[in-house]
Amino acid sequence: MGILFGCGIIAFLDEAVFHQLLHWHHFYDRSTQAAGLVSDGLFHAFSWFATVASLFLFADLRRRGALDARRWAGGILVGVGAFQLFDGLVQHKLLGLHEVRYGVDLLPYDLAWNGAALTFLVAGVLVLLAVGRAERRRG
Amino acid sequence: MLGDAVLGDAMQHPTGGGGMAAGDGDAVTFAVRTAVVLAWSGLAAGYLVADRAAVLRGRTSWPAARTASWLSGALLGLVVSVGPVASAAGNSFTAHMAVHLVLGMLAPLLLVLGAPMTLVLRAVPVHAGRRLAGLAGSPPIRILTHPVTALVLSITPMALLYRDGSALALLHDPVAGPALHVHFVASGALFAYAVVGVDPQPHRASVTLRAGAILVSIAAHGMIAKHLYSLSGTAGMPDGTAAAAQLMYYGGDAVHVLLLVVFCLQVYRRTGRAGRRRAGASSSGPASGRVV
Repeated sequence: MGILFGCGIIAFLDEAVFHQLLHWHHFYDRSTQAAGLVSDGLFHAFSWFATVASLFLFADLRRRGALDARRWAGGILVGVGAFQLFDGLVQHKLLGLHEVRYGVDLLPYDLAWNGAALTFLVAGVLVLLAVGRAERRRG
Repeated sequence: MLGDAVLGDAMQHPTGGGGMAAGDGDAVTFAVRTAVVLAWSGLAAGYLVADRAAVLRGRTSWPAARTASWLSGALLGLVVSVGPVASAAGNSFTAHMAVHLVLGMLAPLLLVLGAPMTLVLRAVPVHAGRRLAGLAGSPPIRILTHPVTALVLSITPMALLYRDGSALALLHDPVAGPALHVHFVASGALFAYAVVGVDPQPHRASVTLRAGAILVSIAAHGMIAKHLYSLSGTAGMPDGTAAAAQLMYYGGDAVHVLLLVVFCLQVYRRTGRAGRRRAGASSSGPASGRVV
């Protein structure tokens, strides 16, 4: 469930920071294939849904007294990493939706983008594994 | 209620009229404008009358939030349909897009959250109410209010309108333009009723299907907006297409998020009630309602 929220957070950050504040990404660079446009539309829809639904899921967990903050935090990290990695590899590269930045050598930007994504993902998985181990030890 | 100056303003259609003689066009426009004002005012007045009738039948305690939602929906609809906003929409494509967002998404959602059918059922005698409820459960209405039908009805005209510039001239037609607006309001209300309707709905679609319909609606809206953006600067597209497309994208998002919050809140509350019922039945352990 944290995974959903993580996806929502990073999609929102991507929109706010890279599209609106830095103007690195373009709203739409007009070179996109139909498949890219469809994928972008669905992921856009999914990220909004994930954000809103995950907050209600959070409220539901609290209501039932079943909330585990560490598991939630680990989930967020996994969500952030997985979504950004997907964005960087599939959306930017495979479908050619848009690039991280225009008019510069892309390699360091792509490495930083996907490297950061991988770091989030690995950190999230480690947190979730640690939580799982601690629970098993408690029985 | 509206000054002559305002109505006169609204009738100045710079590119409208088509091949029609100016005098005829003005008369038709005036008739349509009057009908639009009467329709929106009628929606607001009818709701208040039904509310009063329900109170006279002893059915009080109608939530004020529903009345507020319905009235603000009708007011928004009125404000963007006639007067300065409507005449601005005739001149600017961005203003036109703002009007469409209100008419196709925001106003219908507010109207649907006003639960008009429930109010009418409280206001009319029981036998009339039974007939109405039976009508709501009839096969044609069932098909019409299915999320997929409502989705197709609301997305298709929008996709055709913004496919290329050729259909945009329709908006300036004194009859087809308002007719298209009526369709936007009706299909928007149908969709809102199908996915988050608070009115009684026999054979309501599953939570998963309704969630899927909302997802597809957001995705389609975003795709059409980006397609429109890609058309900016090409022949036949009005000035400001890029700005209008971005308004469609982000404005559409804003209303869709509102829709998502309402949808999730409804599911959250329902699972909460179901969880409490289960907890009460077994009287042990915490309620285990699941969301989605």
